[in-house]
Parts: sequence; C-alpha cells; structure tokens
Amino acid sequence: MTVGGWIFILLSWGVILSLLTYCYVRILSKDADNETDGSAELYPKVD
Amino acid sequence: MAEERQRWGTNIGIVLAVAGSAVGLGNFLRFPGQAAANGGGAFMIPYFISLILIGIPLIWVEWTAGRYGGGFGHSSAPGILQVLWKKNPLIKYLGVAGIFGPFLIYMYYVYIESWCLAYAYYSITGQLSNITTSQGFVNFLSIYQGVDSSGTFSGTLPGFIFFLITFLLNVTVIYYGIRGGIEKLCTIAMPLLLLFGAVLVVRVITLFAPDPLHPDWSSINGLGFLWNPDFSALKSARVWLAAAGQIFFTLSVGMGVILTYASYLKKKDDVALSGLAAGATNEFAEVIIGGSIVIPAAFIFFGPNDIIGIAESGVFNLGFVTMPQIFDKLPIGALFGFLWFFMLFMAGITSSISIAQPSVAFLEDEYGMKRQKAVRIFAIASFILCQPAIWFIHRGVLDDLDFWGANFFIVLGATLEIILLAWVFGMDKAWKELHDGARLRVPRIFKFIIKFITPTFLLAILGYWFATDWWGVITMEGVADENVPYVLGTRLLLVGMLILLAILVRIAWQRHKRRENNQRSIS
Repeated sequence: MTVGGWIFILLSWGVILSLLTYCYVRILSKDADNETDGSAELYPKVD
Repeated sequence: MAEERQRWGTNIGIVLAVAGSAVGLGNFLRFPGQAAANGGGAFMIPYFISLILIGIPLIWVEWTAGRYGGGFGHSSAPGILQVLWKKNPLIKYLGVAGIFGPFLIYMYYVYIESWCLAYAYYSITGQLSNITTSQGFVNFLSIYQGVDSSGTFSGTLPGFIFFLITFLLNVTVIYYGIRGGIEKLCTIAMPLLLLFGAVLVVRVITLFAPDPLHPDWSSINGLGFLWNPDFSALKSARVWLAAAGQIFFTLSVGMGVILTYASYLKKKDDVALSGLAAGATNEFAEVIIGGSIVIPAAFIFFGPNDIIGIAESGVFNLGFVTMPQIFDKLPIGALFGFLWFFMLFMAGITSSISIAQPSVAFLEDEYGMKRQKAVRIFAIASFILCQPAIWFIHRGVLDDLDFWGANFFIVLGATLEIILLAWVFGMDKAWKELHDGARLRVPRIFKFIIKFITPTFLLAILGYWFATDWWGVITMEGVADENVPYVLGTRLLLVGMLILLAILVRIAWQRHKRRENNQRSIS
C-alpha cells in the first residue's frame, strides 16, 4: 500500500470512528437517564 | 377505530432501527466494488463531499419531516407531505412514491435476503465446501435460483423454502410492531452484525500473505488496491455520479422509510443527533467493515491480475461466488462462511422490515386498521407480488424492479421531500423544527446547503438521467428480445400498482373528510 493509501484509510477511518464515538456517547448518556415512556405529545390538530 | 399510536422505546432503539434500514447488502458488496473501480482512495473525496452535501442534509430533512408528520397522526408519505403543504390537495398523491418505492424494493429484496439465509445454512452444514471450482460456485447459485434445472438441486424448491422462511420472519417482526418487533430485532441484530463484521475483518487482515509463492498477495496490499488514490479519476463526471449514487443507495434516504420511522418519535425527541448517529453507523459498516473484507480477501487468494475483474463482477458474484471460494480455502472456513452470510442476512432483514413498514403504516393511519389486520393485508399482497422476481429472475424482472425501486424512485422521492420542506414548508420553520428537542446544534451552513445545494445536486442528477438514459430505459434498450414481454409485463404491473395506490389515497382522504363532517355536525 502506498503512502497515499495509508493517508486516505487513516483519515477516512478516523473521521468515521470519531463521529461514531461522539454520537453514541451522547445518545447512550441520554438514554441511560431518559427512557421514553411511550406517551405521545402530539402537535395541535390542524384541519 | 385506530389503535393508540405506536412509539419507540428508547432513543438508541430508533437509531439502530434507522441504521439497520440503511445497512444492507450494498454496504458489504456494492461499496468496495464501486470504490475499487472509481479511483480507490480518491473515490472517498467525492464520496465524503456527497455525504456532506446530499446524505446528511437528506437524513435531517427526513427525520424532521417524519417527526412533524407523525405529530399529526401520519406515518406514511402521503399524509406527511400533505401536512407539509396543507393548501395543495394534490400533494398527497405524489406521496404515493413513498409507499410504492419501498414496496417495490420489498418485492425482490426479501428473495435476495433469503439467499443469504440459505447460504449461511449451506456453509455451516458443509455443503458449500464440496464445491471446488469457480464455475462450480457459479453453477450452484444458478441452480439455487432455478435458472438451470440440472445439477445439485431440483428447480427453485430449496430457494422457495428459504424465501418462505425469510418472508414469515419478516412478517412476524412487523406483526409485533415498532417497539415489540422492529426495535427489539434491531437492538439485537445490529450489534451482532457489527460483531460478526469485526470478526471477519480481523480474520482477513491477519491472513497477511498466506501463499509463500506470492508474498505480494497480502491483506495490506489488498487494502492498498482499494485505498491507493488515483487522482485522475476525479476528472471524470462518472466517478462523481458513482459516489453520489453510492451515498443515496447506502443511506436509505428518499425512500420514505426514515419518514415513517421518525414519525413514531415524540415532538420533543431529538432528531439532529439521532439522524447523524444512524448515518455514522451506516458509514462504519460500509467504509470500515465493508471495505476491509471482500476486496482484501479476494486480493490475497486471486492476486492483482484477477482482482480487477472480480471487483467489477457485480454484487451477486462478489457475495455468492467469490466469497464462498475464499472461505473454502480458510481453516474452519465453514464457520467464517456462516458468519459472512448470516451477517448479510441480518443486514437484509433489518432493511426489509423497514421497507415494509410504510405500507403497513398507511393502512393503520389512513384506514384506521389495527396493526394485525394491516400486516395480514400487507403479507398477502406482498407474497403474491414477490413471485415475479422469484420465478422470472432470469428474464430481467429483478433488474427492472431494482432500477425503478432502488434508483429512480429514491432520487425522485428525495428531490420532492427536500423541495417541499425547504421551499414550501419554509426553511426557517424547518430549521426550528430540526432543533426542537435537538441534542446537537447543526452548523448554520447546513441551512444554506439544505435550501440551495442539495436540491440543485438532486435536480442535476435527475436532469442528467433524463438527458442521457431515460429514452433507453423506456424503450428497453439492451433487454434481450425474449425477455421483453416479461419486462413489459413487470412495468404494466408497476403502473397498475401506482394507480391502485393513488385510488387508495383518494378513498382514504374522502373517508377523512366524511368523518370530519360527521364530527362537525354532531358538535
């Protein structure tokens, strides 16, 4: 594999793994203390 | 009377369900072939640009529009588009595309998904390891599909049995609803799928260079075949279109599926971070797992001369002919073969249940049916309509369904959604709606991208298609003479389905109107 190949693979993997970690850490921390109760909060009905 | 509206149980539940919808066979089979054929690492430049300019904006548009429509009790595109443009009574008919498109894909996707289940079974029972040549695997797949009547199996019977099992599994999951069926399956299947994928990646990479006669045929050079950049490819419009097409294909945007899933959120549930998380999960499965299995493995065992032909041999050939040959050469290859095909099966089923849900949701919401009745009607209709793809696969029926469902209608649907939300509903209102309950502040540049760049990009893709391909597609250019009646029959069937769906939408809204009039006269 060329140096260019290594740069592209590391950059692509790095961006995706960073984004994935950021999203899941925030979502899991929210889910842990705030499970939805299944009740609905609807918008006002408009004809 | 309709049941109480269904809801997701947890935030992670809907993220995994949307990610499950997006992660499909294409992540593991289509992406590596596309990247290898279109500039290697350089392909990732238009790929990531398309992700930012088309993929992520459309994810947010669909999540926002879906949650908004769900607030008015609508979970399928006709109703959701109607609440986005209340003054236009015709817009709900364009929303038919959001039910028709996914249903059309369902008509052949479940069958392909059943091949994965069958091959997982054949792998673990050792039946694939009896085959020794490349042509043997080609013949095995042909016979399984019923294309060739001589050989190991008789006709399509085993194929049909696995289709039945897969179909019943799908219907059962949908029957148990959003929380009890879809969310439950996806919270188990998605982590398992990623685990199986990770095991396969580690296995392929740690093969290094197993053949002492060919020390260059290594896993690292295999990765290099996929990732070494060829910047000259960036001058080609074809490469940019391939990247945009791959983003569309992979994220499940434009189908109406995300609209439906997001409609089961509550008004204050987050859509910005959840949408991004689902997209990131899909990219992980595609770029990191999908890019590290098929091409490096094929490079190790077939070498640099054959790899180009293999990469361009198409999705089915890569998955069902090349990969079994590779597992055949590995110690405990039967187990790795099982992991590979069962991973594909899980990717398939988490996608197929999502493309079934818009039709079921339409019957539930617009006809006030109980979920069980809506699922029964869907099951009967879809079972009948799945048959052409199974019995006439060799007549080009599956390819034609795939073109209309997975290419044309998703681009059309996405263009419609984004123009409606950004221009008719209003970008300021949409931006506020996106941030209602959001756990992420979306950079303001995306307001500009969603309003101007993404619609322009989509209209350019549609325009390019109409300028170059549409006449050839309509006149069935390239379809063999003996297949023309079958392809024509398929298209007539699709037109009939479109008309029927439009009639069903009309009847549903007439019922809504009658009910509202009755309520007014009572009060």
